[in-house]
Amino acid sequence: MSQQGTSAGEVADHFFRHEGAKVIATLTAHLGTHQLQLAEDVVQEALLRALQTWSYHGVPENPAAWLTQVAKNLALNALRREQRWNEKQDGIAAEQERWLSSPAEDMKHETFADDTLRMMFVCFHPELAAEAQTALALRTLCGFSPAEIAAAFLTSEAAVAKRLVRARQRIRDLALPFVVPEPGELSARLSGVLHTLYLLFNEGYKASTGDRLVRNDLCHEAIRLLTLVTEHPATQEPRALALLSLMLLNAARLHTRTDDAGHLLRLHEQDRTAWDQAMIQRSIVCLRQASQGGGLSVYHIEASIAATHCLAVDAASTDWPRILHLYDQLLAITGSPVTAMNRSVAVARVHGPQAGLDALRSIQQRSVLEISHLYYAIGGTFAAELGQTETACAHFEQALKLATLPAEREFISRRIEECHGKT
Amino acid sequence: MKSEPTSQYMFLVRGGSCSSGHSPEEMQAHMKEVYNWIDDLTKKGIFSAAQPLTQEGKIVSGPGLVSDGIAAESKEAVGGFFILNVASMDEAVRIAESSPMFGNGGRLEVRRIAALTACD
Repeated sequence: MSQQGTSAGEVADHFFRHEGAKVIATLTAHLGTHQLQLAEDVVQEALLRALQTWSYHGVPENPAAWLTQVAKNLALNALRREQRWNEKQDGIAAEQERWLSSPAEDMKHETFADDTLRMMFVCFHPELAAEAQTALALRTLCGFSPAEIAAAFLTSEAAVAKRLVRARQRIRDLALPFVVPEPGELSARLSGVLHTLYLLFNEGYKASTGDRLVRNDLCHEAIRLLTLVTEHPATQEPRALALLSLMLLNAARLHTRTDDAGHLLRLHEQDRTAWDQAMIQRSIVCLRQASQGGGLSVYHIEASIAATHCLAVDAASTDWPRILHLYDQLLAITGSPVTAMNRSVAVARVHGPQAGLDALRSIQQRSVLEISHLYYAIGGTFAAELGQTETACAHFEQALKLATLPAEREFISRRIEECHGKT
Repeated sequence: MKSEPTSQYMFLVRGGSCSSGHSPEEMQAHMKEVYNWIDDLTKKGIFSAAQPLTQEGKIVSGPGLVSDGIAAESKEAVGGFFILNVASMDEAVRIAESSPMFGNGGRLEVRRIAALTACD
């Protein structure tokens, strides 16, 4: 449109979101974590100015540098104002003032990756509650608005805003440092980062009532952040690569898990030709890298299970004995009843539905599962396969009582109809 | 095809300054809408110029009579302008109606730029 700038098409998807998040990380690196709110505010204002100016003028040659420069100027002005109004407070440190006054250099990928990784260790600090961690990460690392975060977690915008305020306050109170943890502490802290990214991904992956686009974005943001973790020398551990592989394998199938009407599709009902083969290839490369250098994590096993599904040409040729073997390994590590429940499906595929039912019924801490619709849905499926229609029906009825998400309820209702069709 | 003679019309963008409540994603989406609108006008040869205005302004009523301009938050504040080549006020209004500038109470004032040669 304009002679000065490039066309709008050249601003990549999510440019405002991701570039804004980068500038927040860079500002926080220089101003300290106690100024997180200030960094967020000035970046929001810088984006607003970009919107107002670029809409008439066209996008500048280097939009990232433009945004950084405006945000730095705004931060400098805000800090100077703050200082004037509150003389007792320490002035802006000379170093900060020098940096804020300097021209915005081109953001090098390494610098950005460094700042973002450190920001991740702040957001995912164990002193913050799990829900505060994910909300804060989506806000500062991914550039989501409170409304978008609320949509993703099916909660209110006010609740998210409150959560964010408390999280920032806690960061200030604890004076959390903007650093990658020291080697002695790194392993445990990385576990927390990986686990939270895993939760974030699952939040997007699970069939929720939320907007499908928002959910896809959650998955892709988790993958984007985890990719940074796996590329950084300090944190590129095999378990991080294994988790990345697992996420990619699931993301590759994300769009085939429901039909056009939003109905859940079982693995054997999904259109395998629509799976994202490039993503599957990338995940296999990750899994291969993850298996070098030792250390077997649950992520390795879960990724191997997902890979076995993805690599089967069709549902019938799925290597269920291998999957069962992997579940045996996984169960040995986690000892979790949920793992045992999932394992029972593999048992049924290898040894028949009666064996699956036996496996399900012999789970030690079964009471934990009895609040889950999945437990009854799986039991119902085994019973139906055994021709025990009435038992199957009773199981599905129980599952329906426990399921909350519409897509899941609809799925179970269809199973009940199938049972009635047979009686 | 001989096109109709055109005049220049100015669209003054009043109010509608985005509040901070918008997410980066929404802001970017809005910017793309504006671009698509302008690209379309450019292809049709209608688009002539556009400039944003900064928020700061002064009103000068005479020597020494200087006051602050209209606050940016005001509905009357002009945020920028477009100059377009169109045949008639009706067409200019139609184009204004097709613009994506109306979020947050934004309005367009459509004015014909007076020609030098004739008294309109």
